Amino acid sequence: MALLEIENLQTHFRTSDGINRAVDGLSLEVRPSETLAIVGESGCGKSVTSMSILRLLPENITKTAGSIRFHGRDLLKLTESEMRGIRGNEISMIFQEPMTSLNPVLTIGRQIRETIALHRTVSRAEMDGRAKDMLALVGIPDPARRLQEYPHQLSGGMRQRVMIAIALACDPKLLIADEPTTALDVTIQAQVLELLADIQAKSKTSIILITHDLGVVAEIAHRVVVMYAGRKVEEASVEDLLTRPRHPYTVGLLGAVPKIGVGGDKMRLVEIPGLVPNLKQRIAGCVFANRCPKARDLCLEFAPALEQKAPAHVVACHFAEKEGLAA
Amino acid sequence: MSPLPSQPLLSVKNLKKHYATKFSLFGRATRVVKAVDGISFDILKGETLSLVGESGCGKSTVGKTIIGLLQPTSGEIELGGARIDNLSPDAFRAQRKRIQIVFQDPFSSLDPRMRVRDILAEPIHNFGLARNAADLKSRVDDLLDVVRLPKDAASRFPHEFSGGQRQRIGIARALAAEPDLIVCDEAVSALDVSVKAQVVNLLQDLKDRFGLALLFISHDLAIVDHITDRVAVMYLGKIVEVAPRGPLFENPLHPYTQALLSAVPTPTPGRKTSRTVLRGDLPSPANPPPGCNFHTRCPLAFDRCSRETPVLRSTGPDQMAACHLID
Amino acid sequence: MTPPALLGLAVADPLPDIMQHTPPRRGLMGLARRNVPASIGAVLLIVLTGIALFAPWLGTVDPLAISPTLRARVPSAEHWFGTDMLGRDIYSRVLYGARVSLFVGFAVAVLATAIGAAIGMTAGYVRWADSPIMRLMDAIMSIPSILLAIALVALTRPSVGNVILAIAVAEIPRVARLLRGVVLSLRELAYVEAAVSTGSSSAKVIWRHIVPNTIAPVIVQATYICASAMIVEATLSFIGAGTPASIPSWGNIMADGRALWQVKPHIVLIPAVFLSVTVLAVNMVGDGLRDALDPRMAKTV
Repeated sequence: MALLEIENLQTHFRTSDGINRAVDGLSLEVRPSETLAIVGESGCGKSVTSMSILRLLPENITKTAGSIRFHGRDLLKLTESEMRGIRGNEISMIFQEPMTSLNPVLTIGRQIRETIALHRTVSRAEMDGRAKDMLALVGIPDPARRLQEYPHQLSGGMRQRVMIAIALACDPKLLIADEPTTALDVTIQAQVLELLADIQAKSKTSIILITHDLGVVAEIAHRVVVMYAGRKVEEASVEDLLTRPRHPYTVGLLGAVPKIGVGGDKMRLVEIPGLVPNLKQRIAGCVFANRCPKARDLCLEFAPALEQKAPAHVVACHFAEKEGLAA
Repeated sequence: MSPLPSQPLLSVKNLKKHYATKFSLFGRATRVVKAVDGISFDILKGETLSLVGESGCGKSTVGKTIIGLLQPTSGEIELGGARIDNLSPDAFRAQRKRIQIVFQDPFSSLDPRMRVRDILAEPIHNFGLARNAADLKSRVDDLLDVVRLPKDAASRFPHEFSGGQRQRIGIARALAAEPDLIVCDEAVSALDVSVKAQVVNLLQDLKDRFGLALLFISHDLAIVDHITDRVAVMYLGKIVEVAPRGPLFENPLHPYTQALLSAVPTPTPGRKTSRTVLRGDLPSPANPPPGCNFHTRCPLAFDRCSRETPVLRSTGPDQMAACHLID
Repeated sequence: MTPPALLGLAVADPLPDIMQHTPPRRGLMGLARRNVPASIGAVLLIVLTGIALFAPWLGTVDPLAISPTLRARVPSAEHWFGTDMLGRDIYSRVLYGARVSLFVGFAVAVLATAIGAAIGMTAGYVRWADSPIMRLMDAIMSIPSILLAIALVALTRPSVGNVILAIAVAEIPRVARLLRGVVLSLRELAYVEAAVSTGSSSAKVIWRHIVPNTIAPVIVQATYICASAMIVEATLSFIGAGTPASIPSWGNIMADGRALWQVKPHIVLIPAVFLSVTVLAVNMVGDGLRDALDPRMAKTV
């Protein structure tokens, strides 16, 4: 059974010049102890999806429809106080910006203890022990001393480790990592990715990894959902997606990623021409049709449904070939 | 291709930029950050030199010092054989035309209150490049055409454009001065993958078309591999390795370059097993370690590294590295 | 076109609209609807300005005319707000008093912002001038503004002009400090650096790229100064160090009513209410402007 099941999620925002259909009809599932990557470029709705799961969006300008079932309970129907019991406890989140996600005037130890105290009734000594264990788990040397320190005394990579420690403090079933390494240097990124993979192997936590970087996906994800313009356009296992992408957008995205060793004097990167469509207007046909090299007239008129085109490989494209499926 | 002229277009000699961060009561600097600590390099006409390194290594400071936004603490910068670092502000302004810059952030680098036409007209005016209003207009139109933006872009404001389009406007502004050298300070880092590919290809084309030299400052080695002729790797304010693109990517000599290359995630399935993940964090440039700056994180460090600072020495044609292991 | 089913295409079900877009109202009414407190403030301010300008035609009598027989009367049909200790008509005095308050408020706002902005911009842009200018500003700020104004008025002759000057001097450092901060953060912005590197002179950089982006915070600050100047003026007049007694101002009227405030509180109360409402109106307009001009507030998701 899936741990988290999103069905037909729509998250729309009210703006001064129209309704922004940021997420429009997204369905996906996260299985126990797997890492699901949601990949896409800015504005594709991947971060809005994660904020919708935790219901962190400003309610006065947002409306959601569809369902997000976690352990069978629809998160969209819970009361705010029930939701508070889930955030940071059963589902926790780490953000891109390790500089601003920590409170600068509280010690690291206090911030970890507060998270524990919100969800567990345990003694101060137990909390301290837990906080120390968490810092050790995320590979922070000398955890007892670090508990007394303030965020500004730590480097960016260390702060992101602390964020992960706080997120894991209550043994969540699901960890949402929203661009966890984007603000970090490559050598530090490698450390943090290694850490996330290790933690998952140990604690069996499911992870939703939200990223724009297919290189990061290749490192730690098991399955991948590719989003474009608020929709899922392709879903497959990581090996399958990276070696045999079937949606023209995924193909373009993979071609546009610069790769070391294949550069050279006249080696041009593959461009995806044009721009992402305006999500404030209703798009009749396929959302990618205006940039797609394979698009024909019918793509502009009929939006493709998600179809299984190969085993465990779902694509929303009229022209993706079917393969390896029993007739 | 004609033989490259022997005299470099830009020559940087032993450039240092130190900042005082703490002062005694009497205004004496008591703590100095050596952001750039004695680096030298040349850029030939029409050549792309990339300056790579992690945040805090001083690469952006080098770029800003070269275009005159920062005053060097010591060292010399020569443009076409004449020194430009000791000129008066007025004399420098005349030289400024020859070196332009493209910034990282496509949002903060354009004045939100100015139309694109006025943004592009500013350098043309300042350097007296247009004979009359008609000439100015045709120059602006040409610039938009060169960076592949529609003509009607001229009358619009920056907020009406996407990140990639804004970065094209930034490139057009740099080109407006008809420079010999453009400093690209992380010019594509903030862009989405597919847009990044468009802008990288555009920069390549412009470079060939106008015979521009580029100083390409980036932390992204994969992009660098696609655009550069030579690479200089910086670590804590010093250049640790300089080499042409081929040798650097195929046979990096400095352990830091090796680690940096192996840390880059690539979109190929499966975790890399041969990776050297660097331990620890970047030391603070205010308090660099003794001896080789890199010895605290170097997997190959031995006792000499903590005592003696290695100097850049030639290891092959055009290739230099600063490491005791290659003596 | 052929129906998609015949082509063997799987077509996605259309998705419902879950939100209706209501286009924002345009024009003056739309603007007012989006900023209700600011609109109330603006309307109040317009009414008060009208009162000040048209005081002679609003059923007033000579505000200085003494009538010993009608001393300290309570409000009546003849004297709407009653009379003071010298039998002067309070209604007329309060309406004429609006002139002083509003004039002092606006004049100080304009004077202090103009001078303060120039000083602050110089300090922010000219590095060597920064420290000496700001230390001088700190020195002025270290004196409580009301004391500084009292001292300055005491040194000169009490007149509306001198009151304006005295209050402005005390407000200038606040504007200068604000502007210096704004300029320091603006000059670090990439587009200002870009202007420098495309060869623009310092004057051009300031004029084209820095000044236009300081206007919003300056206007907002000006409204707060205006409100504060009205209060300081009233205070100075109340203690007799402000507007000369020959000119009716709200502070003067309150000062006159001070001796009788336990038996005839309306003499103090009526001008006080006018002062409070005016200051409130100016602050409401200021808050509205801040919300409308602050780019951080304008950002949508």
